[in-house]
Amino acid sequence: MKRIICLMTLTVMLGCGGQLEQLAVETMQNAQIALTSAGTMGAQETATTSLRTAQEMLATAESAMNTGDAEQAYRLALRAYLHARIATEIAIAVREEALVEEAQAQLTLSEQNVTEVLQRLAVIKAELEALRDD
Amino acid sequence: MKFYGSLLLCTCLVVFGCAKPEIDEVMLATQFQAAQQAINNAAELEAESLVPEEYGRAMKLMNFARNSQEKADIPQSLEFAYQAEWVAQVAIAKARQHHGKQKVISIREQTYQQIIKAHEHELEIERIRQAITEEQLARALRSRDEGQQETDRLSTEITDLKTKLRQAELRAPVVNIESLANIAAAIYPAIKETAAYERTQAAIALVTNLIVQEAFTEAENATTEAQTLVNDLYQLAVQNREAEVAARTNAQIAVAELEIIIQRAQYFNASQHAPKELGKRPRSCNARKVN
Repeated sequence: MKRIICLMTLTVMLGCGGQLEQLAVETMQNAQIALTSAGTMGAQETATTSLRTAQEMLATAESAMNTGDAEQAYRLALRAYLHARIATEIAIAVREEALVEEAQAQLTLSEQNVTEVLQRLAVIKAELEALRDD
Repeated sequence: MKFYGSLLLCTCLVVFGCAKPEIDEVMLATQFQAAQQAINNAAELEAESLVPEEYGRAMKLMNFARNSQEKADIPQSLEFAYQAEWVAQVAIAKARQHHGKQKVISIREQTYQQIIKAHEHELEIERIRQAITEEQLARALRSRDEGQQETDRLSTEITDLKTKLRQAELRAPVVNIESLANIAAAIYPAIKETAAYERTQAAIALVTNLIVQEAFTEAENATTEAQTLVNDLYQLAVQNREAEVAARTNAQIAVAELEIIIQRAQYFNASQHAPKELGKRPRSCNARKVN
């Protein structure tokens, strides 16, 4: 009976610890993927703070994992993942906003072109009228 | 019993060992405030409708944090509050992306409208340019027609002048011929009754007609023939005139001789003294009779 209770307790503890470690490892992997994705999106330039925070948290999570603190590693990895996601989304948002500026510049050019064309139109209309009056 | 006591102690150690350190209520309140602010910012960017998944998750995490707070689970509440803030940050970034995309679409739409407008104006410019070119072409054609008409008129005039010049050139010898014929007639008027004179006049008339008819080659040939005829006519007139003059001169000489004789006869007045001289016929009287 004593042996059974010990085994069950050990199984529960080891089982819980194993799942937590697994979760921590998976979360760290996800955080790493999210960091890579953020780097690909150019977050180094546009979301420096979030990216650096995510990197630091992931490094801390790895340290915690190495010291056997799986739960702390999980929590830090989760934060690292979220910060990497924020960096990614901010980088994408900045890119979209840059596209807005680019489109705005094109619109300005188009408006200038219309103005220039209108001036030419006025000139050629005057030329035609002068020819007809001649 | 001792074993169970040790087991309980181990379990407590595990549980309390895994338990989080106590979190200050102020930290939790601050984090709640930060999370709520992030959610509010997301809401201002219309994240609820644009990115309902992230916004809903942030709200849910916030509720979890409140529930945990109510259950006095401060660490869990703080953790949920952190996550709520960060998910709200993701929602904010995604909402910015949506706004950016919508703006890009809107601006591009305006850009296309401007491009279309510019093309329409360009089209109108080309139409006007075409109208100008057509007008200029029409004017050039009118001018060219007028120039052509002027050219034709001048060409006709030049042709007429050339014809008249040629006629004048051919009339000059005809005038000479006529003059020569007239001179011949003047020299010897009786020549008008001759066949040569008739032929000459006919030749002159033929040449004149040919000149009028612009048959210049034929006129040249006829002029040559008329020239020959008039030369002959002139020679004939000169000869006849010379003959006439010679006869008249002879007659006058004879008359003069007779008059001298008569004068002599009168002078002597003596038929008796010179009857032989009165009865004598001089040679010049005989010559006159012959003519």
